[in-house]
Amino acid sequence: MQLVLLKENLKETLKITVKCCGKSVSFPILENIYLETKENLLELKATDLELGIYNYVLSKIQQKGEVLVSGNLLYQLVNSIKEDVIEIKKEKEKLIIQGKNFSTELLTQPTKDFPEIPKPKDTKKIKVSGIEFCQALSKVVQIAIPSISRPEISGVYLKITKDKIFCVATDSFRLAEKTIFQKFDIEEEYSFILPQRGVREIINTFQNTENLFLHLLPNQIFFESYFEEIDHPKTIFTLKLIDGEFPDYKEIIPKEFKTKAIIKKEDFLEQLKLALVFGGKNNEVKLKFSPKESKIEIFSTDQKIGQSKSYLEAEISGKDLEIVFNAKFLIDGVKGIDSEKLTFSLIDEENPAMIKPHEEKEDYFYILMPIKT
Amino acid sequence: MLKLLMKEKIWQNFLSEIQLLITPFQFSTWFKNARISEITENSVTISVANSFVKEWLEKKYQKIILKTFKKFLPEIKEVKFEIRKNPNPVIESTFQKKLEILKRKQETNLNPKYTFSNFVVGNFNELSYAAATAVCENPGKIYNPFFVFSGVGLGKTHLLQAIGNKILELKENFQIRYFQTQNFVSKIIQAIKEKKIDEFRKNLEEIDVLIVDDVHFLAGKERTQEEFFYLFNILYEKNKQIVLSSDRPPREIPTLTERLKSRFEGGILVDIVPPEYESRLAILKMKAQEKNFEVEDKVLEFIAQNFKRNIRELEGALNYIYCRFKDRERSADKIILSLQKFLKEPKKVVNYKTVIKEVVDFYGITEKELLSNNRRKDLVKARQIASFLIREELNCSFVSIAKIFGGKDHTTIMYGYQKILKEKEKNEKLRQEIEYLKDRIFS
Repeated sequence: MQLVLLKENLKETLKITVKCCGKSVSFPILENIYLETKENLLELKATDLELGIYNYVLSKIQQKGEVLVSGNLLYQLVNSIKEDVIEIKKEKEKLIIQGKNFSTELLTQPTKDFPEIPKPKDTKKIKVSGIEFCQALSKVVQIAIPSISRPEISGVYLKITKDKIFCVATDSFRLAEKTIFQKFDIEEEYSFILPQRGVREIINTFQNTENLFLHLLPNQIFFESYFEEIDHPKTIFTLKLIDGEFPDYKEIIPKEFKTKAIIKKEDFLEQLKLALVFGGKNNEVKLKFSPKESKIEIFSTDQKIGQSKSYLEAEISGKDLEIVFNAKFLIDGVKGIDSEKLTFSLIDEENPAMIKPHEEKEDYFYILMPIKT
Repeated sequence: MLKLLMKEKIWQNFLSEIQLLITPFQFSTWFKNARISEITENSVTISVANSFVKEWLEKKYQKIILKTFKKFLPEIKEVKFEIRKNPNPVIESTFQKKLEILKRKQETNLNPKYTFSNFVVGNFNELSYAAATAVCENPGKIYNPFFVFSGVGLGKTHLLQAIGNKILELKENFQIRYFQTQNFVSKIIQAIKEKKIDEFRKNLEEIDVLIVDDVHFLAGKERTQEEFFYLFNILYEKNKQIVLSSDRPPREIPTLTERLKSRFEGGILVDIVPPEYESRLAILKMKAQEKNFEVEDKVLEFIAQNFKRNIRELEGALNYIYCRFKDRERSADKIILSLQKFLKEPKKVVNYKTVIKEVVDFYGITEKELLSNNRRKDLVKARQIASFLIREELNCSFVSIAKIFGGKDHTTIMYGYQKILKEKEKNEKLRQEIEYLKDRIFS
């Protein structure tokens, strides 16, 4: 095995690949990255058995071959190299990485025990904008909650219809949905649940990718990005889907509200962060809506340290209301808003409230349950 | 300082006297956590943990406590009770609500038909009832674990499930699980077989209330006892409520590890005895009403007078006449006549084999051991009790009993019988054991 390639390309690729290596004490072989030469490309493979990745780097292949080395060591090594061009070759049981002024050797592992990582078959591909897709995922991913007893809410639920993609996550106290508007040439609708960890890696890997392709199989999904220069995948990321039925969340979306407030997002966020300081161990914050005075009082108190009271100007219609929320949960919801203003709609102190962007395109909502006192 | 020492001494004195007058579990339930808070020339004030205990002591133990104090402090004329001020009140009244559809549809295994509203309370079970309702209002905080024991068919399962259903109603976020011990055992075996024991544990560690019925079936199940011990500790540390029932007190469950015995006894231990006449009648009225079965009081009174053993018997008699008379003319006399016939027929074929089976089950030994010549103390005792019961209840001759036990001499059997007869007069525990066994044999 012998090849020459640009350090920068390898370094960039390793950064993504190494994150997909396994960290399990029972399967130490997963800590390694599998390197294999292909036509004009070096293929790097890694997996932790739940997710897997293939990455490709343009290289000048002088001799075919394959090798298995520690992912962390390889990454650290390449990270520290100053030169632009590096040569990689395998000699007996060692991998030699060298340049003009340096030469390193890495001990290799036997390749035969490395697991197979699924590869996409010729199934229907759906094309999305990687940038928009990852942005949508990041609005909801932190809300899911890993749970052994309720695996179906431990990930992000996606539903792809002919003209939308819904991204939904919940931890049973709050639920967020982000919608991407795009037309797809598909016959049926697809819905599936992606594990939270996998979604984080997707965001990491594809947040700057313009064209991202999705293939769906019954229990597995593949995300592919392509080279600009050649018609070959640059990255293939695969994820095992979560088995289970996501709860029918459309039912809990409240239809009628008794109090509605239109608030400036940044001001609200600022005041919530202030109130959070005094929220105590349950992060409690009390909101008092006064439609007549067009303002919301935000109050929090912690017996051990003190209290905070602040006022927010807002256009409020409907009834007066006093209600308590978890300030952190509120902040999470407000952060998902991109527009300048948001609409905060409520029913009463025991029922769910909804936060939406105050603009034409309603592509996001956040439903939050209050704290009962 | 002197006064404090005095209070301590007096209290110790009091405890040593009163423990001779009440049963051990009454002692540990009511007096373990009580203290003297104030003592004057003529009065003693006892401080207790909560209003429930205060009320109970005032109602039921006032006289006996006064009498006991008078034994060594003759000037005492009154005994008062007060609730001890809790130095660290835990106020946990707020909680984050859950989205309606996402409230976990939990498999509680609870039967909604068992509630407190159709649980008849009488002298025979009012203590268990009162303690149970206290548990529902403050799960995990006052009586943990809650352990109720009683003979067969006296409402244990009803009580346990009522607790579960009540807590479900009062605390919407609580996760509750009800298990029959045998079911629990088979679930564990399955989990071990499928190598899913970690998942099994993880599932149960998240619950807020664990209710396990008939824990006497843990006898002899070592692996289950281990898992149970592990689960018990985890939940107990987190102040999660544990509710248990059994047909006998923890001390008497054979082969139950000592550490489980002491944990079971560490909260409140209450019992249910067979209902007295008034309660039997009330229960019958309640059940007839539930079935929409109109029947004259005369009939129910007859049933209450003649079916005394347990509630299941009452229900059995009621069902019997319900089936026979629901579509026919219901004159009270006709019904009573048919019940008399029913009484005469032995409901169950009881022979020496039944006795042996129950004895073997109860003492956690095998039939082979019972009928062998092994002179191990526990086997000798079990043999003597078995032969005592066969003689008393089945009226077999000593010679035939001797044959059952593999050719022993009939005088050996006679000796054993006399021994048990004498012992049971002196030994409360033995008397209770024999009662339990009789219960099980005939039901």
